[in-house]
Amino acid sequence: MQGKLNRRDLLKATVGATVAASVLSPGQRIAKAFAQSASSGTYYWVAHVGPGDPYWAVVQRGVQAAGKALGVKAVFEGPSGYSPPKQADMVNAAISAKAAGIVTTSADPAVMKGPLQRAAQAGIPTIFSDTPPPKDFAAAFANGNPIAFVGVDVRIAAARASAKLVPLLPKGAEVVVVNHEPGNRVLEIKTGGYLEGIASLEPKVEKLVIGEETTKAVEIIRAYLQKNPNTKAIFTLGALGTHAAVKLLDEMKASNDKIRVVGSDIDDVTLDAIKRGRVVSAIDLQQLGFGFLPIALLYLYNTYALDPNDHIGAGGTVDAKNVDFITKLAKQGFR
Amino acid sequence: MLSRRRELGAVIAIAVTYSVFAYLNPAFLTWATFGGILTIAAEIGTITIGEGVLMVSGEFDLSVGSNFTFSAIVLGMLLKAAVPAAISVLTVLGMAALIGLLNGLITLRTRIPSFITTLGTLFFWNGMALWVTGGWPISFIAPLPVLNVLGNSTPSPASSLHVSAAWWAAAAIIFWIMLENTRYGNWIYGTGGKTEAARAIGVPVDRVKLINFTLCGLLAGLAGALQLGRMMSISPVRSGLELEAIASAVVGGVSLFGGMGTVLGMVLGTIALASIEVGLVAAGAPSFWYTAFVGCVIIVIVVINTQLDQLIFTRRS
Amino acid sequence: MATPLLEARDISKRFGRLQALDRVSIALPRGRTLALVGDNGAGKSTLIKILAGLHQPDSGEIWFEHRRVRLESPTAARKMGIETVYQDLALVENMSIARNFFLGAEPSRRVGPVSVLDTAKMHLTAESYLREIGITSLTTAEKEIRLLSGGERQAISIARAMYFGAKVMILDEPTSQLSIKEARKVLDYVHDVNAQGLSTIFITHNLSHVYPVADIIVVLYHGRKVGEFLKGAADPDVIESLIVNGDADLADRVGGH
Repeated sequence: MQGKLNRRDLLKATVGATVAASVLSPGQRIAKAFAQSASSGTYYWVAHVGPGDPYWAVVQRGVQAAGKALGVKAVFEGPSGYSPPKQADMVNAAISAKAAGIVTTSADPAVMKGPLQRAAQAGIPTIFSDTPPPKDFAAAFANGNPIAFVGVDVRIAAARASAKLVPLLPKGAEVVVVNHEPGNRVLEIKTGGYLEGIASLEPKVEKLVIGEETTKAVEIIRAYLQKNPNTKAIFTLGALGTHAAVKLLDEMKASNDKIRVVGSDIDDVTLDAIKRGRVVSAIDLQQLGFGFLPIALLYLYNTYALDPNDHIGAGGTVDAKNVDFITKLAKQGFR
Repeated sequence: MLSRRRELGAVIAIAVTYSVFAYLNPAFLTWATFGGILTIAAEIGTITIGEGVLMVSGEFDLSVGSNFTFSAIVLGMLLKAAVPAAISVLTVLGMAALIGLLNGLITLRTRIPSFITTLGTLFFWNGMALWVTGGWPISFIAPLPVLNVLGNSTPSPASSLHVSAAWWAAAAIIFWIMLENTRYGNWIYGTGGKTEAARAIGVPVDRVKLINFTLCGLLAGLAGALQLGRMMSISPVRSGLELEAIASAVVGGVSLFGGMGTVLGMVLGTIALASIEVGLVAAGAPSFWYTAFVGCVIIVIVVINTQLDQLIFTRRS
Repeated sequence: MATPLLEARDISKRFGRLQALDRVSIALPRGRTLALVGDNGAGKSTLIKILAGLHQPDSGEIWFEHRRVRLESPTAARKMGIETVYQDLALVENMSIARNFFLGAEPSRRVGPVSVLDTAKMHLTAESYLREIGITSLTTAEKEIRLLSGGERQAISIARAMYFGAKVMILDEPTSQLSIKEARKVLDYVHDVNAQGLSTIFITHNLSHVYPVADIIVVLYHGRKVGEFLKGAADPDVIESLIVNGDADLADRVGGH
């Protein structure tokens, strides 16, 4: 059952279980035994970028909610800017701090390999979240750690969101994907998903790097549209890109059907733009779940030895149909 | 001998960091944690030595972070193209040194402040890194022997200490000898301490600066190779390491105006900041505190250093 | 007077439109002190920078020990035996006495494959020269320069020049930033140095510092030499007037003595 538990842990568990057996019910007995084998008791959720980003702020909320619900200490960590190496350093620090469990992302799976192996050796269970690791890397982790993947298959979610465009665009339409963070593997996967969703249109696709600053991004897209006036749709890869595209199209007073926008991530601007019809659809990653569920799964693993081995997914689309409800949830901080 | 006491700020920072974080989480006071700290410090620390020595001679290099990333990328590409490991590493180190030399040539020929020159090359090499990779990280699934030698090996499988720390230590020893115990080191202090005096007495100040720019580039490239070795992957995204390196040097007592600083200080400064980074995670504090915390630490330590300096100055004279 | 040790003949130097020096000649005999006086911009600094090898003259000749020489760099001048002590940029404040003393000409020894600073020799030599020149306030060469007084700094510069076998020592405003007591001490050092056969060129604003030590006084005005006096033959008022107006007659009229 437990490939990851070493003999000392098992011994501790056995001793703990024997001592507890006389007073506790069987379920509680097992629970106590495994709780003893978990060390400092803190669960870490370590992302490749910090909670300054609205998207990750929601993940953090999920982590906190899980900690509260389960009565454990659960913290969210991440470097202030996109940096898988720093993320790896933080995972290492969490291992040194004898974490009870670690959730991490595979923004750059190669970077995470060493730390995850070290966690396995230290007997700390781990879970991959956010975006699934590529298949070749997943094979490298076949020894049972991470114990699960909990997140969204961005490719599928992106394809679903962009499929909403199919009835709205002509065949062979010119479209552009604006990338605010080149080098981020997840955004490349998202791009692939978008194109899959509209593959039947056989579109002419351009990619545009817009940088991480909204003002600059607006001007870059403006310049692009001036040069490519036949552009029919803009795909954004995050809230920043959506903000820039919406701002620009509003400024240009372009009609909603002149240039369609498909976005990613949910925030006020995006939701409002969907209501106005400026944005057709956006990927709803439901990242609250990635914050909550892995912590809960690690807790169950440590406490009740529940070993999840299936893909536990999340991720949907928001469009005109459900935008009001999602807006309400967003107001409450659940998106 | 030379302003050794200015390292005291970093020593205090390390002492306070260790007391506070060990109190918050006893696991902080373990070899595993310290090994992790040294591993983080190894790459930034290697950059810090080059940056620090350049700062002692009175110049800056803001492009070290971009040089670091670009060098690691080129090394990754050469290795992927099955170029022999030794040739790949030497080529990349040579290229990194040339990037440094170029900074020096532009700065000294045009008399533009190095702050501006290297701000320009920061963006340039960052752009080159994005261009040659198309934005994608370069990753190795199976570790190559050369990557193990550079950074991936550990003394034992579960160890948090990596071989990269040994490379850093070697660089520190070489540069310590160079800076404090050779004629050239004396020239560096003279050049940064009072350029005109050094020039008047016959120190080839421009050549000293040029060599230091080159060494700074070389160490940035070496650090990039170490990170590629340790992580087996490098992303072309801007690293921001230049500011961390300068911060580490300043915390270690290197003067922003040149003429002051020791390699021991640079090493301690890097360890101090890396300890804070690991300590905050160990304490379960939100990691964005790190940036804010480091800001406070820099100010506090520089104030301590200045006050100490004043104290000694008034007492002795 | 005997053949001069160092002679500058008809030196001219132009910086853009500014004629910094216009056919200036000076001659410095062995073991003597030549004082170079003049207002700001008179050309004193330019002349000594040429003699120190920092600037090249546009025209004119420099003769040293009966040979015509070219002073291409500070190092070349130093090698010949011309040492220059600049007023406030002579020493690096954050470096120790010993490190300053040998800056640019550090002794080293080999340890295995590397050549390292011979710190022991640096300290011993610096300390013995400081004793020789009569500085009793400094017992260790480890002290940083910024912790020293102005007089001590000048003394170190002079001791350094002596150690490096200077035949000619150029002192740029050696007393300008010193207290009266300290200035007197520095003038004593200059005296001692002359007694040892060294020649000195001494630049100053302060005429009262010139008279006790100078054997020859040369007055510069707007890049031209306007007066040259031997010790004793110089009338302070005349010199004053030459410095201010470049013209001695005026002094008679204005000074009216």
